[in-house]
Amino acid sequence: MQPRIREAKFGLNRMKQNPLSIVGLAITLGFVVIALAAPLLAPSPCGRPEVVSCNPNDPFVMPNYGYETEPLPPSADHPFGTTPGRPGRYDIYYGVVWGTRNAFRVGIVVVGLALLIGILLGLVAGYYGGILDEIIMRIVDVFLTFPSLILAIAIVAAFGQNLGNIMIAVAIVWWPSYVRLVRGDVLAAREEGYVQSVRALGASDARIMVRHILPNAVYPILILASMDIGSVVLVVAALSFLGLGVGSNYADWGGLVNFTRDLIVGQAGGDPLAYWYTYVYPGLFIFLFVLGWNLLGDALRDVLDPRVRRR
Amino acid sequence: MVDRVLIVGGLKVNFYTYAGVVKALDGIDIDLRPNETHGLVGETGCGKSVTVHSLIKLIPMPPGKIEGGRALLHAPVTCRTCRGKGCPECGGSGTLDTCEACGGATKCVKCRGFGRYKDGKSCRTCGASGLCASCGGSGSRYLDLLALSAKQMREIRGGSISMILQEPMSALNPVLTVAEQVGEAFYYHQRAALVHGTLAALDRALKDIETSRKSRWRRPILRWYRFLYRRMERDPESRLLQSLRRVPVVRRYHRWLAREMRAQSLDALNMVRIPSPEKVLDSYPHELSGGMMQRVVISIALASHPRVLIADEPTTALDVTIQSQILRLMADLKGQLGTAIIFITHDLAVIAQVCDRVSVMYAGTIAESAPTLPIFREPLHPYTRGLVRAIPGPHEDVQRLPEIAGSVPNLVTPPSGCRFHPRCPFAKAVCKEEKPLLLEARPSHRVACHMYGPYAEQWTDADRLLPQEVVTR
Repeated sequence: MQPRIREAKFGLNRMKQNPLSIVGLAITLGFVVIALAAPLLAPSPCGRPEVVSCNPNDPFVMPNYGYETEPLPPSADHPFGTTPGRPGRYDIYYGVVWGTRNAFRVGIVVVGLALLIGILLGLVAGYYGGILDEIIMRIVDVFLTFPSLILAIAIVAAFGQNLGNIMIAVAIVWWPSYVRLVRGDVLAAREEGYVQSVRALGASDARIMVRHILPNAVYPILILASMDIGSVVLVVAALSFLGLGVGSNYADWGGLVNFTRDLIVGQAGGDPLAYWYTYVYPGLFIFLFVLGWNLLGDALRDVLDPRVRRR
Repeated sequence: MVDRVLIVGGLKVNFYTYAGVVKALDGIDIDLRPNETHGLVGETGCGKSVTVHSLIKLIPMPPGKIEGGRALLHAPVTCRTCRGKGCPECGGSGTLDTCEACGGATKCVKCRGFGRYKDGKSCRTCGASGLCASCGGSGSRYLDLLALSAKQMREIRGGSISMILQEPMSALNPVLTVAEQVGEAFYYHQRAALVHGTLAALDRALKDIETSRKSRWRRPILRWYRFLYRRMERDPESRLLQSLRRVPVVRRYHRWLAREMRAQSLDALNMVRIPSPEKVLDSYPHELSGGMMQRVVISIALASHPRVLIADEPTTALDVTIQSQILRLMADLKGQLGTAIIFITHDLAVIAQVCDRVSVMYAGTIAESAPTLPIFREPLHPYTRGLVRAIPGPHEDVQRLPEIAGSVPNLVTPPSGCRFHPRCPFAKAVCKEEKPLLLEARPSHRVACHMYGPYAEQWTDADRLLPQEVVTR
């Protein structure tokens, strides 16, 4: 394992030289801490007298503080204020903290599914080529012809709004580009001398693919995947904002913004910035989350990609 | 010992491309003797690489297709009666060396050695040679490489036949360390030896514990490992062990094998004389120089002690000093391991330095095949004569080297008859019509040219001289 550690140190050193990488790493690590410490940062207020409804078994269900239309401004009880009471007065701080956990879950599951399908199909299509390649790539083309958000909306609308369906829907629109990327890199790696060499050494197809081609073709896709964790959260937030979210009381950044849809332009004739806290805080979390993963993706390129890494 | 480890006869390969059928190889004959370095020379595109690649089926298929011919690899098998222990059946050697088809009689079983059936037609089994087709008339057991299944072929590749590719810089995987890549070669083809070494190491460790009475708690673990490796010894492909390797913690047993692999790799690197091999094992390919990489590649190719080593222009990408080091190393290793080498190059100087025999290729055919010295002293084929004449002498003062007129034919529409005839200064009508066979013109000197075959009388002695040669006489 020693040579691996040496290479990793070299990569980390390169990463340190780029301040943006550090910022990206810091932001993402910050979100990891928030997600891990969610029960400490925002404990369930169940049982307190001002809570109208609450689910002690599922912390992702936000406790409701009443049905008055006016949102509550930031205070000691509600550091980020509350949402307006039409679906229910939810504590924005609580929603944002538990929403972080949700964002990680959605991003990692969706990108993980896309990676799995993308690597598997891309590897097979690129390595074997011929009719298999043709079939797989034409299926990919069909999926790519649909406008992705519309397709996701259609799937969620058809199968019902719950977290599982939303993740599956986004994964379905997400995997095709992964297949394309992996296939392209596999096509390039397949022609390399070392692949010929190990074939002449008597390695089986499976072993050539997994041990020799994949490690050389996987870096671009890992970088894309890390950037996409942010993008997936953005798409899921968009779905929630369009009202196709998990449900009105579920801790989800997009959902929180959705509740304040009418307040963004202000109540009729009022000050548009009167209820700024209702959309700024969830929006800020989405923005930072996406930014963090994007910067981290760039940093990973420095660390992982052997073509950039060569001294 | 057999007289030939590899017999290639009438090997024909076509590539079906959009532009038409490329007749890349048109009947290649090569005999490779044990412990011999056989040079394959010819210009770019004449089919040197296609020849060796099709031997181990590494040409892309499709568009490539092996149309005919045979490639027989001498393959003694473990005697079935005594299972390698030595018995009267195998003459005490433990291996059987007799051809299964003819039982060592060397005669064709179909035509009983006459080469013809009773109705006068040529025997299709032996191709009119009268010799057993599956052993090539040697009586020894040969394996037809062209008829092997994909799985059998994988065992041959890197096992009995290894290959060194042209570019050492790209022949190693950039993301794996040298240790992993050399170890892989042992893992594929020397697993029995690896397991054996591992068991010995385990036994030693257990004994140490017994005598020193230290760390006795490790005893059950080591015993368990020994049990696993004994199982692996019996069945190297065991499903149980393959799946155990995937289980965390349990797979730690594999470390003993990895340690043995590393020890073997270290020996392999020592054999190719790499300075500070320990350090090189832990290096990535980009940390090594070209010469070092080629040494590593050679050590990988020789890991399985192959019977045949195919070196496809192993020194073309290296500078001259490294080139001579590598050539000397290969010659030494050949002596140590008794491997026969097929050496592909277009550098006649290299051929002269390392090869025992040379086959000159032209446009997908073998033009001439002879021991090295006669090829340079007394080339017979007009093409070889042109080649040898183009070698500049050390103290010659020439403005322009003599050249062979014309250029290599397009192999989609190769010339009829002898493929060299459009460029040949001696060509007569027969050359255009009939393909010359590779026949023995002098003892152990074979040439595919009508000037030396059955039509030899069409050429007078004066006809056989090149214009320039006429002037010098």
